[in-house]
Amino acid sequence: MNEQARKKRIIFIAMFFLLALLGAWWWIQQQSLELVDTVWTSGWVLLASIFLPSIFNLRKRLAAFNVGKASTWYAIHVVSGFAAIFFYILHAGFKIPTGAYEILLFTLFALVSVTGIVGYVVQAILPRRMTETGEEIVYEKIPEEIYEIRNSAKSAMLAYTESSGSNLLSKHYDSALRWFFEQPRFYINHVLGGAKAPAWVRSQFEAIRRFASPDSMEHVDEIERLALHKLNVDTHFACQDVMKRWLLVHLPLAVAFLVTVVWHIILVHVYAS
Amino acid sequence: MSEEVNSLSASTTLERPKRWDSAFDPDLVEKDFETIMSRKEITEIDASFPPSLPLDGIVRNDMRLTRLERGDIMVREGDYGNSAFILIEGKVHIATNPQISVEQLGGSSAKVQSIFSRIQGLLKKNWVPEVRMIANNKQLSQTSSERPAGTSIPNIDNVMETHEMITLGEGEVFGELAALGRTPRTATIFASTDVVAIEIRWQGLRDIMKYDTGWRKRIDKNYRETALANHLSNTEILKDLSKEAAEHVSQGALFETYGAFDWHHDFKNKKSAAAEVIIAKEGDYPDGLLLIRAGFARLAKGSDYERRTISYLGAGDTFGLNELYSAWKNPGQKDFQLSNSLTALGYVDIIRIPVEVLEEHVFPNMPEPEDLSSALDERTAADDHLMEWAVDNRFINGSQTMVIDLDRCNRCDDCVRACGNTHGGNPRFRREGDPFEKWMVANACMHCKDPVCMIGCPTGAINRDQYSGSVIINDTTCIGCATCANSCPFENINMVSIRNLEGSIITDGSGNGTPIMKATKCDLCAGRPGGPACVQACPKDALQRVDFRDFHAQARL
Amino acid sequence: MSAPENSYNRPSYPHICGRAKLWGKPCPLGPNVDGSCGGVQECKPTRSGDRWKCCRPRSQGGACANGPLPDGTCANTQPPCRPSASVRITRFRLVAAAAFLTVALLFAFGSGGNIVSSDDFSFKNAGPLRAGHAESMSGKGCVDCHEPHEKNASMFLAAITKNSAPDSAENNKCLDCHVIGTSAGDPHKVETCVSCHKEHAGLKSPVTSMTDAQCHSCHKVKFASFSEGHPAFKKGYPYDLRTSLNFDHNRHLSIHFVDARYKDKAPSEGETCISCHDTTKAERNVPIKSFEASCAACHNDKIKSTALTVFELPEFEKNPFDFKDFEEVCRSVNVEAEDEFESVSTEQPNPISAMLFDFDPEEIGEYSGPIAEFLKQSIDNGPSFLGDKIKDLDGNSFDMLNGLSAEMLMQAACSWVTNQEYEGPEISENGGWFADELSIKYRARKHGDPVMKAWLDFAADQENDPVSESLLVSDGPGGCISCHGVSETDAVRIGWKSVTRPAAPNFKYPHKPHLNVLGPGTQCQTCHVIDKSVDTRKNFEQLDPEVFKAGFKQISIETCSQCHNKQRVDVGCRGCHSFHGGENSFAKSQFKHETKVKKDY
Repeated sequence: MNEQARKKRIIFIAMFFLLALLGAWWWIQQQSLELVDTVWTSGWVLLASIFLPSIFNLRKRLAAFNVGKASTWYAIHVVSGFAAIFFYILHAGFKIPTGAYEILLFTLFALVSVTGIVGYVVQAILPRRMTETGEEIVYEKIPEEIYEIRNSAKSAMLAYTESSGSNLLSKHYDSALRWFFEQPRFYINHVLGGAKAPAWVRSQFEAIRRFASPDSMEHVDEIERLALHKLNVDTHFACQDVMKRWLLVHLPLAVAFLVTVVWHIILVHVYAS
Repeated sequence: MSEEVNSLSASTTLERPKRWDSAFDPDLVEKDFETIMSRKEITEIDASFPPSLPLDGIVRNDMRLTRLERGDIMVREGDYGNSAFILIEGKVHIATNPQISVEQLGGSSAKVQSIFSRIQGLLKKNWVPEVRMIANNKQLSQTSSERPAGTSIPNIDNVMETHEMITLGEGEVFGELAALGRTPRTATIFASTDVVAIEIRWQGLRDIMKYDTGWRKRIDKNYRETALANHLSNTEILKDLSKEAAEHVSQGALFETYGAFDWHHDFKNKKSAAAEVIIAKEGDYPDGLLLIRAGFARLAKGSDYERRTISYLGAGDTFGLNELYSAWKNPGQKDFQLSNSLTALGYVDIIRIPVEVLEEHVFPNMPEPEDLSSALDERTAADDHLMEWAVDNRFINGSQTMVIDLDRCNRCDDCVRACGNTHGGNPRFRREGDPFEKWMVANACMHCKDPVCMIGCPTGAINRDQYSGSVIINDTTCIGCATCANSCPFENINMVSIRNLEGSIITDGSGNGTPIMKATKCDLCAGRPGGPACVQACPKDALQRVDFRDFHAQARL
Repeated sequence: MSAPENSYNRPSYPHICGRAKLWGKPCPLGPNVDGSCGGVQECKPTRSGDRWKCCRPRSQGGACANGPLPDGTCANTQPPCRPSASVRITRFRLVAAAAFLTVALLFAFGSGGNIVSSDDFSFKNAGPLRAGHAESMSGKGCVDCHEPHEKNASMFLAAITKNSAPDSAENNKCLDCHVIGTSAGDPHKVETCVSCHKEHAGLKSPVTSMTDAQCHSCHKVKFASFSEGHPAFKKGYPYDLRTSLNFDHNRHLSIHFVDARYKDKAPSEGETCISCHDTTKAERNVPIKSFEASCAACHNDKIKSTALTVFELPEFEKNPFDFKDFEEVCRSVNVEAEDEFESVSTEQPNPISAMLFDFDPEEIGEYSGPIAEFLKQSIDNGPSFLGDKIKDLDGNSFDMLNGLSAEMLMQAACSWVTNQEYEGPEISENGGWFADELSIKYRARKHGDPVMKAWLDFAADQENDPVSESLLVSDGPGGCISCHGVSETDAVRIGWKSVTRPAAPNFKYPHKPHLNVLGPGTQCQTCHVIDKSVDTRKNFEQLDPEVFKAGFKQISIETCSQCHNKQRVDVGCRGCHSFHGGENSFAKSQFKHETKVKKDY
């Protein structure tokens, strides 16, 4: 029920914008037939389709008011953002513009669109990667969790050393595991979905088990369990960090773009209207 | 978490918990004990109690004397109570017309948040968590001598004059149905004079009923006359019965209770399904139709480790109908054993309708019931795994369980932020939980059908809004005793220490520096048009508030 | 107690514990609201009586063993961390920085000044101009077209709402150099230039192409292409006026050119058209070659055959002169005074004299005086008296009397005032002014003689019937009118040029690409078919140029669409029709400097 309602809503929005696109295209065609300069019409339409994505942030601030579901606003954001690309082609054609400000505008628009599409793709891929770890942890709680893991690993390492009397694990901890337990590692590999991190852990512990004392194996088991748990935490950290920090690229570009749009509107009104 | 582990591992033995480890009133004075023992209701008990469960033990541990001043509220309408009362001295009243409002009883109703305060929330950005303007707060501390709001009727004199009343006097027994049946109190009863009453908690009540026919008969009769007919008429298969047939059914019905009434305390520690009380076993012959009156029961197939949960039954569901009906319809047929087994989840209140009553009065007048067993047989392990998980964790209790689709959720925390925006900057749930496949049930109040949190609130601050059905805590009347928070088996109620505008924690001034605490939880955005802000705020439609019946059907699509 | 305590996550909180950032153990309460470390002390000890009590929360272990220090500070302290900004706050700062940076950059390199100087370069320049504009700007740069460019900030901002485009209606800069769309006959009065002509699109950017669909959006008659549905050419196309020269193609081609007498002068078979029509200059028309090249071989003699009689001595009743007055000047033969005066001339004054001296030529009493006056003046002052009379009628006496010798005039007048015929030298064959016994005449020297032309134009201007009947006839002086037709529309004009037909508005037809298809001269007959039933000489029997029968059959659209169709040479609307009024392409004829000079054919 929920899924169907959601699909219906998104299809409705997509259809609406498709119609708007076709309508705008038709209207501009008519205007050019009548020898009216179409850049004005296509420009205002483009402005509308740029304005719509920009108010998405507003929705988040208005959560206390009933202004509609955020998923609807988000769908409008994405669809009108895509529509903006087509409206841009209607407005300025396929060629790269000449003129310093126009090039700046075009570059910023391209960057915003590209980062937006990248963000959309990222949000489609990374959540599943986190779910597949089987665990769930909140981003702000990760430092505490890392600390606890590190602490427990150190205790287990010390317990092993005490019970077995050998410095195998403590040396190994210093040389390799300390680095691993210090903070989230293998960031890029986790984002890309590679298997480097579990392979590293596996090879570390294969080596340890080869030489560890069987009586104290329970401590090795404990550290390995912690290391495997940390892999999941690292995955969560990498994926959630990317999804939060991606906006650090998209938003400043978008704001710079909007400022440049305002300047563009001023310029064309001063020089060409 | 690690601290708990450490403390448990420190000691290796634990004394076996006993029935009367925690008495109802640990400070029961001898004099009160004598008073109770000498009451005729007790002395009339003419039954033989087993040595492990002597009557005086029940009296000492499961009863206490409650003393109330004029105006004190004894029970609140809508509350979930767990004790019955025998009035010894004084009079109590029930206001019938008009009924006493929920605000006077300490609760709150869902009011719409004003536009002004919402705009204020936009503009002001105070990062101090849990700010309370204590100047307006009537409630200052837990140990103040002032009577906490919600424990007594304000303007008792005025109320006595303007409302129509029913009076209950000495010797009246009331409240036992709610106590036994986990149903909300049906009326507000308050003391109009100084009152002394024996309060019996439900455990004692149940045990006395078990052994004493006098009490059993009286309470039974009371139930049959008042609530049973109503309940039966709400049951699907019985609602079309003629009045005479319904009367027969009502007379012939048997009451049974399984499981532990305070299941939530044990639930947090051991969630073992093996310890569930078996109500009916697969393969046995059905002995009457079981109607679930309250609580939840697990419907399972198979035995031991291969036992798979097929479904769960809640209030209004039936068990054994298909088998009994086919046995009646085809007299020669021999195999009408139960195809599934039924175990109690927590506690279950059951009405058993005997076979003779069914065959004589019910089956001839009803159409053939749908055979659901075949549909259930086609399920696979994957189908059942979700059901097992939901039932084991008691998520089936929730009517507004927050389920997050982790494959869609991009952990943006917009839901938490929106919840905070709607509640003055303070979120009311935690986006944490143990994931199952791609679903996660977050720590947000599920607004249970069986709200154990509501049992025992001293001031009535936690109540169920009669219009929306949401369970709401009135922040002003809450005294921070944490009864509700401790009761909630899902840890969805959070105790917070309140602060002033500068950020300092408000303490109670007793010198210990004990902070004033308030219980907080999700209120389903009671004052917000459009429903819960969390659902509306999720840009990926990952968050839903579900009833598990609907959710299970949807999740498997 | 198992209830969770103070454990909500607050994702909007602006500060992150510094220890957490370094992956250490974050303090339970987190940074304070003001951004300072919140974990320096584990608790805030409270005072009860004389003693301080530790009030560390239960969740962190309850009261500590040591308790607070005697002065009330917590014993368990640690150095403060440096809380850092959360991701959200970093995001906000980056966004604010991006906004400010962009605004700053735009202002630094934008409105008004450039930090990177160079007067020619402006960041606002939206792209290179097209070739014509780039070279011909006056050197002031952007301001040539964009007035607000150098204005101060407030006027700059005012220009946002004002119409300050280069092609605004109030102040259209394009029209400073270009001439379009402003004449009354221009059907396409467009609102702006920029709607079609985009600037700043590069050196070689084309003038915008117009599609047929755009034409059809206004024009009511819609059709698929030139060969499918284009309306038929109007009746008589393209001959909407009588030719200015009275040249009968049919008679020449079928009679005169094949006449054996003129065989050596006539053009050869197959080259008849191009022998007169100069294909090397083919544009809208194929102009004819000069008279000398095309007509003189046969028609030269006619020019000198008839002379123009400017003055003829009329009959006098009585002698208006006293010879003795002219004795000194004339120095002529002794003339005895006779008793009876007998006029030497018996003629009436010629129409020119009647027009110039304004008398009725039949009233002898009326004209004697002016004639006498003329003769006297001629003796005394030469041709200036005559010139003045011409000037009085707005004639160009300089051209008309060019070459008239004062001496000759005096001699003739001296003779006439003594009532004698003038006997002068032999009349030259070369033409020019000469005096006869009783007249002053002019004979054209060659084709295009300016004096003769001036006199004929003068006669056309005056619209004096007797003059017109004597001069503006085909056997008139010079033989001019035998070829050059006289037409009267709003005024009487002589068709000196071979083509005077005005160009059709918004239409262009170039002969050149059509001629060379099979070699010059071979394709004329495809379109220009002589109508042998028409005698074009009759067209010149009256003065209205619109009343005529064309010597050629009309050109029909089928002739054109044989080649101009989709399969062969497809032309759109603009193949033949031009949007802006004007003869040829936009670039050539619409430029102000050149429009004053009309092309001669």
